[in-house]
Amino acid sequence: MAGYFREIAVRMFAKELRDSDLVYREEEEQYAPQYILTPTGAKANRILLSGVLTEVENIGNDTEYYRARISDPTGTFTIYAGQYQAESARFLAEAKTPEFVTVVGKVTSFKADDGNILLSVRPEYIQKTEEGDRNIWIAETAEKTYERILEAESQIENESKPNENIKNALDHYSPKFDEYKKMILQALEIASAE
Amino acid sequence: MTNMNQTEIIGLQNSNPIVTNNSANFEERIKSIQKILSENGAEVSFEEIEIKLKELADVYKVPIAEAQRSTIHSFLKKYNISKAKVFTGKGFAETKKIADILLMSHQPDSWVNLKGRVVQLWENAHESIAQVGLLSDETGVVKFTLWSNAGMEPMELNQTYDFKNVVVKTWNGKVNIDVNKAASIVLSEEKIENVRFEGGLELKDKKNEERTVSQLNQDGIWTDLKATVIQLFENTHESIAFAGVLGDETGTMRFTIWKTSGIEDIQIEKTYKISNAIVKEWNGNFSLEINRAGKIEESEEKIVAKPTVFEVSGCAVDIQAGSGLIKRCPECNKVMSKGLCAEHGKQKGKYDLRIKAVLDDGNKAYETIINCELTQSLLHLSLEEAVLMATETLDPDCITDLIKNGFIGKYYTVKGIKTDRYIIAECVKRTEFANQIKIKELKEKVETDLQRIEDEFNFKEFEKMIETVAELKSDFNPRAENKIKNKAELKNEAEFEVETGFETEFEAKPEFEFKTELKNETEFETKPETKENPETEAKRYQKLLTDDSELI
Repeated sequence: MAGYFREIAVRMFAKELRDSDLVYREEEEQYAPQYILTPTGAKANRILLSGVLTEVENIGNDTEYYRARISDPTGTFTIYAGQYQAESARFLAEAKTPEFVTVVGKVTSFKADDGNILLSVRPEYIQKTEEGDRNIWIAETAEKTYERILEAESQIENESKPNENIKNALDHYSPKFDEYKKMILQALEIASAE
Repeated sequence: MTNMNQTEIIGLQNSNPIVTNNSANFEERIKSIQKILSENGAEVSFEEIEIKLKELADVYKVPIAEAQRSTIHSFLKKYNISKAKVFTGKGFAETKKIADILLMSHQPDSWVNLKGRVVQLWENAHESIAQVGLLSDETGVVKFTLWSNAGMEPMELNQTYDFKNVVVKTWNGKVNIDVNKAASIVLSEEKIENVRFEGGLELKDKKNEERTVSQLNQDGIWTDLKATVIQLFENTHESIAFAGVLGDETGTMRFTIWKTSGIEDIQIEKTYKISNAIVKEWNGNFSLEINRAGKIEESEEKIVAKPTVFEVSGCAVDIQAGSGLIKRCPECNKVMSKGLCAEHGKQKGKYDLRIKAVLDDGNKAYETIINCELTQSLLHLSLEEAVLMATETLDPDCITDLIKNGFIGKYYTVKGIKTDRYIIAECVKRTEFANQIKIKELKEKVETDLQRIEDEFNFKEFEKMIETVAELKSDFNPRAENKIKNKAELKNEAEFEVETGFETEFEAKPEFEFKTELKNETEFETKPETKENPETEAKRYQKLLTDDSELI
């Protein structure tokens, strides 16, 4: 198992995932893991998301293939589960909406006819959770996102030790960090007790 | 062997730079082959070489350079002449100082000559290596490897040698030199007295700082340490004398004592004074290695090792295989697979419950093992009930499913002892609520951050406003009324902003289709008015409007 490490489940809000369209592999091999690079410079293969399951649809023709929408305070995640995600598909088949769920999954990309890259999530696990878990996730995701923004901003000011991911993200997206800061506040508002 | 070929080819190309296949050239090649052979004591006739070379080049269509090389080799073999001897020194090796060699990491496989003193000889790990150690001159120190198949006399410590045709290798960014068959080593007449090598030669007497386990968190630290052996592993390798876990008041870590240290007696629960050990990192874990340089003596002072207690919090993102209802071998307590123990074969086995959960905090994933007792209370299920459940459903995996459903996606804090890979849980707590204090702090931080930008922005807006007013003042005509009407509209807008604010508007629109919607949202988000400031903003507008009315 030399060289094996578990991909960390990166925390990001739906808006950030939706704004992302930079997909790459670090190695040429067919089975090399695929990563996305988000506007705030997060490099992610696996992500953790938590929110409200709002819609489940079986879009498969012969086999069962589910599309579900999970809403967080900033937007919606789209997840797809088919025969190779049997546990998740079973969950979605029986799921009630709305319901708090948490998903551990891999980001997958699809290139649309118009050349746009569409990202979705292929769940490894989808589980019913509670509002508390969702709020912890929001707080955690807000914190991690803000940390990434601060790091990127400090890199804009001082380019002496550039982080390659941040550099690529800045070049690709020219992100408006104010937008993401507002997004963070808006999300935190939902997780606040008052 | 590839290294050899390189020198050979260089040597050949040197004598025959033109590679055209005409007969004159062919003749020259044969002559040059003859010359090389005769220099090495093999007198071969022109015709004999010609037959061989022609066979290769014409019949087998071997490229001429390769044919030439092959011909030489076949005759050398026939006359039993060592290839190494023939080609030594034929390359382009330059004589270099060690400091310059150390800068050659970008040109690996280069050939160099050097003069160096053997300042250290290490215990070699492999039979194919004759000697390994350090060479030094007045400019630097470099690691060398003398391969067994080079067939050379071993070098002596503290002697200076002239090395010819050694290969510069890089490994992990570090430069070292390889002495293989093509090289030659001669005892140098000139001795290097002042070597640039710190640390001296008698490693066993080297003085190190005495550190504690918690300070040994960097690869390559040489250290002294007083610690108690708390665990000894079963020996896995013939060159390892002992391996296990040691600890002091600050924590625990793995250790390996190599056979080369000559240490023969280590006992569990005894405290030892260790000198000259080195810290090695592997996969983020540190271990202490005691090799030839190291020394261990029993200490009179007793140290009670404190296990490293870890506390990690995170979301349970995976339940690993081997969780749930398992069977252990009654002999050795190891987990059995399909009713078989790896050591004791088929056994009846006794049931056990455990959870191997991966907690992920967004920075790192922690693998935890939760024992039977904790698992029972977490699942509100006793071992007996679990066994019954598995028997009734005919599916031992049903417990695993139960665990997955109960755990994944939820947040936990696990306290426990960290081993190599796992954290053995002693206490597992579910985190049910978000930390409101943390949320509040973060909110304030981001708000202040945004406020600063907002202030800068508003100042610019305000300046623009003043300009508009000035324009109105100087340019008072019927058209101005229209402008004022617009201002009034602006006022309404401002009030509207106060009512709705940024967030409610956003909330009302929680779902978006991919691209088109995204644009709208972006426009919407880049609007300068936010909840933080609409009131002051509105006041400003109002003030401007009253100013204007006065004016009219």
